[in-house]
Amino acid sequence: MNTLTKRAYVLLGIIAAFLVGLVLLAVSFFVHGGTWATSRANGHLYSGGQITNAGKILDRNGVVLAQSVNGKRKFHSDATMRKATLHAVGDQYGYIACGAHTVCRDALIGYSRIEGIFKLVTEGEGADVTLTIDANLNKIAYQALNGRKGCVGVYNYKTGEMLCNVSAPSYDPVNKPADIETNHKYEGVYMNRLLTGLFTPGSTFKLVTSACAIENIPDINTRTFSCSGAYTTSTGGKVICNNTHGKLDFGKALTKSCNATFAAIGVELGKDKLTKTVKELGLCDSYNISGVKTAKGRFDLSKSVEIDLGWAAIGQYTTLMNPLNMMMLAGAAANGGSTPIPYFVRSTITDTVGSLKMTNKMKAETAATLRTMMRNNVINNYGDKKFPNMSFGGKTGTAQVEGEKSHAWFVGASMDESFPYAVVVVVQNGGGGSDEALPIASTVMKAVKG
Amino acid sequence: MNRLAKQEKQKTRKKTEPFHWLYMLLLVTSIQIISGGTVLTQIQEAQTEVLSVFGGFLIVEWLYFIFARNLANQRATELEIIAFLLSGFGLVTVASVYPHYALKQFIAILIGLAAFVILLALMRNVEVVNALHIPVALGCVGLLALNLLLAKVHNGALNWINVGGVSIQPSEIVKIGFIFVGAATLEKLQSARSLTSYLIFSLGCVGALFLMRDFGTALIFFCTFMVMAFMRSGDVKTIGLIGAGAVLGAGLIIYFKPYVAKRFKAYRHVWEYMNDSGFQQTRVLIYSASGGLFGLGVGNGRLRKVYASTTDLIFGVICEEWGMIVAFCVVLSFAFVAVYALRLARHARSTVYAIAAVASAALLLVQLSLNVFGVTDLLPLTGVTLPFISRGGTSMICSWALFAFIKSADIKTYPKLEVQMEEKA
Amino acid sequence: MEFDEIFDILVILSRYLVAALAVLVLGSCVVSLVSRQFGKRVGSYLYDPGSKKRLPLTRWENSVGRSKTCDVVLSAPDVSRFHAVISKRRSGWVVADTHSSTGVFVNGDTVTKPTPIAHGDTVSFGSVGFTFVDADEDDKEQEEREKRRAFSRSAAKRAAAMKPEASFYPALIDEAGDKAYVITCDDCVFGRDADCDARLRYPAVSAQHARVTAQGDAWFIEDLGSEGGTTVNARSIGKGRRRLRDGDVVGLGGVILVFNEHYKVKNKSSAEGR
Repeated sequence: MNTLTKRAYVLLGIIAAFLVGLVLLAVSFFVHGGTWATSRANGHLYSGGQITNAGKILDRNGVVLAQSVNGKRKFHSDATMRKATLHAVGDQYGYIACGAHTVCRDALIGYSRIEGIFKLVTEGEGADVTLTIDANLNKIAYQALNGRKGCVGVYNYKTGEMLCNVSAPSYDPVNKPADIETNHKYEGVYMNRLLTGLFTPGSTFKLVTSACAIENIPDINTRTFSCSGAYTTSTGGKVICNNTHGKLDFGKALTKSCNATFAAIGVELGKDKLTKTVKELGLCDSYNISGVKTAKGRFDLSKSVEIDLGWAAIGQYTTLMNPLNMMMLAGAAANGGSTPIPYFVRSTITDTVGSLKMTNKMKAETAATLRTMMRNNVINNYGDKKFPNMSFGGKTGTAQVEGEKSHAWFVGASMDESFPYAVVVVVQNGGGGSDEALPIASTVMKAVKG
Repeated sequence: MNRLAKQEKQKTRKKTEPFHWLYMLLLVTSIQIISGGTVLTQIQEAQTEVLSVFGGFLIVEWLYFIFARNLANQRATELEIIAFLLSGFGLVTVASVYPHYALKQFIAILIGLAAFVILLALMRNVEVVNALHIPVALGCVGLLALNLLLAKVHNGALNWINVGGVSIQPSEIVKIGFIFVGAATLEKLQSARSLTSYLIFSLGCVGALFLMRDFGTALIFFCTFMVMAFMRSGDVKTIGLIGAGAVLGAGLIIYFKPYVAKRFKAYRHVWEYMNDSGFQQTRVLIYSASGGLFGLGVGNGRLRKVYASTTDLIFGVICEEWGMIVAFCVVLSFAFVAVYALRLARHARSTVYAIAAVASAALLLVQLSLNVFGVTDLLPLTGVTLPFISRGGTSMICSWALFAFIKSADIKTYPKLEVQMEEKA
Repeated sequence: MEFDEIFDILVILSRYLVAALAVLVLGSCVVSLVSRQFGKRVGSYLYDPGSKKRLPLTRWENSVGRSKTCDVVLSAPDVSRFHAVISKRRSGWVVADTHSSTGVFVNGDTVTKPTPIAHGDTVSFGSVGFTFVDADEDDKEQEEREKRRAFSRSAAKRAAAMKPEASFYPALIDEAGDKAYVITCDDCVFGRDADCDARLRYPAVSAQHARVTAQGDAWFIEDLGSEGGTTVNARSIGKGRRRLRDGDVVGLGGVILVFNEHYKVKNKSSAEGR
């Protein structure tokens, strides 16, 4: 009988397996509880697929952009404001995956691991979420885009706060257009072009090529180049320049945005060095912007022939860049090489510069050279009138797209430490960078300056 | 024995007794009064009926303990405390969702309690258990056969019989018989050392359940069978072979009858099927997480509106409305009962009790796991009930009976036998 | 309004209260279940008169056999691996043969079905024989021995207290043979057997005939189911107990004795030596 009763220890195995299961269950509730509780199938929060009870969403100045009133979600009273802030705020149905309504769901409904959503259910209140964006600035930017597709971003390159986070096309979440799925006007309306969009960078990419040249060609600043209206390789490839610039140095090449010079530099640098620099600058990385993963840039020279290097060096070929990432590049150049990762939801826990996650983009010397070049570009090319009292530096871009109008780009940053803002503007199929993107950047930055 | 000596004996008993039954009973009663009270304020209909049911439950509970202590001289009543606590949770939850079902659930608890007492009396004498083996085995097989013949399709499984307006689940009653038949004295075990006849009986039961497509219960039976077979023979080889055979069989069934596998297609992918076959699991997860540690309060939940909320999904309802702490207390109590069963089995008077206690604890744990982990998608959803808590009469009776098997292994249950032992020591 | 507010607070509190109470109840149950002590095990054993070894039967069901997994392991070659089971039932101890090849015997009789065994019985497994010692009976014997020892001390004390210089004991005196049967213990058995406290060598006296017991200062006699019966003052006492007074005439199967409560024992050592 002793032998038999000893077999009772088989129960220990079953008990242990059961306890392991319980621990797993507890852990998964701890880890995924927020996601589960905020599911759109949760009848406490959603009704007919629409979020009903949640906290307010405010902009940096306390302007209420969305709130729940009597079980209904209400947005800002101004239709243009609603459209301008749609991609930052998100809609009540969760179509806008990058908006605060989706990325801050657990905070908005006041979910906590201890109390669940008790407060929300019994008192109908969630927690408020404050965004770093300035709603009025967003409206100005949205209006400046003037119905064209594209995006505008402004952020503080010392703190990471995003002041402007606008993507167009947009729609009014209160009166959602019926033809949104079919009308070409609304193509890609749910995506935030600033965070998850990818565009051919055009001449703005010359900043990257410059950074590579500064680091790899020691005498780059003393060299002279000549432009005869095109760059041709020995194998017969040809990169056409926008003008015949004649003799010019490196700095002037950027100011004139000389394709021939940069194509020549690109070919000289070769695919390995260019790829290495792009990688080091984090242009092919994805960043977590308040819970939104940005799109990774694409820069692939593995199948390129010699002339493709020339095209890639001026931001053409197969290259695609994310606007926010390019804005960070300008910010890093202005900030001595590194910049915090931007965010648009004010975090309640880490709102101090000290705890910011910095990302190192380039060497300090490279940044210094680049910032001088960008600054000179504004002074000599666009004029400081566009950015009064800002010590602004930047670069336009006109990215050629096959069969369509070019994308108009502008990336830039203030070199003034007391005004640490960087900007990016992309007008999709908008035309020339200095004609279409630059004025928007100018308008927006003037508004920031106030 | 004179009065002085009696008092002396009681004093020493009190000292060695860490469990004060009256104190525990008061605690349990206060939980029930608080929870029952909140339910009464929340329900919209049948308040008087529910009130009288709750009152009746409390009276039965107190009467049981008073009788057990004073007439039956019961000193170890932890199991009953747990059983009444769990039954009470089940009763208030069921009453808050379906007030009109409260009376039925209460009657089920009464029958369960009766079954508990009767089974304890039966288990007192191992010779009686030995003598009843064959009739009980035949009864089980007969009941399942009858079920197969008569039952109508219910929830995709043919596991209900309707007798005079009361639907009973024979498989739940067979669970009791299954353990009863498996529990044998050492003398019987040693006389018939091969597993054959017991094997045929067990596989018959499991097979019948399989034909009814009640895979959850079939799995519970199979696991219990494995534990009992191991307890009886210690024959790891044969049992391993049977286990391997079962896995192979299950594989073949899935291969030849793909609809079986289809029933479990949502397993680990519930969010992809959240509006069809993963509906119940995802809702349990969503609403359990909504409840947090302390719950949203009785009646504030939304899982109650989902189909089978008071049977299969009741764990989720408790999580949402009572909170994770209470829900985990409920399931953890079974783990502690299993530890208790293990210790009892080690000191049991007869192998009958050792086998019955271990098998009952194993059955309860397996069923609990299939329920709790099934609705939370850690295991495939098979649709078994949560012992003591879920709505359903036969399930309640079975739960009480299984506790009786565990309690019968405790010598303190039979004070006269205990006195014999004490005097010797 | 006020009542409503209090009620709301109670409802909110109840969420935490129920959780706390549930933890408390479960915790107490766990403490109690875990700290539970289990009673001592059975003390019966099989006694091997040859080697004077005891094989303890620690459980209520004990397997006997050659297998190492048995509770009582017998290494003799003609014992089967799982030879027999000795179990304690409500009625007492039982031995059952579990298909052994050489059989089980109780006092020489072959066991075919579960057979009760009593204290002192000889139980054999194949050729290996044991004396079965029931812990209950064993304990009883032990207790009795203890009692007797304790009494002889107290009797000696009592006698000494009565008259320090001489010893007085109650005794039954055989008038014919002028023989005194001194009662030296609280519980004194009269009979023909050698191990009786007082031995009467008459054929009419049964092996264990009667018993004289003390209760306080009073003495009683009862019959132990003798053939000849017991009389006090010529009247049969049947199965009952009868008080003995000084000078009562006691008949044990025809042998007549007179009860003397204060019989003077001349030789002290002989009285104690009985």
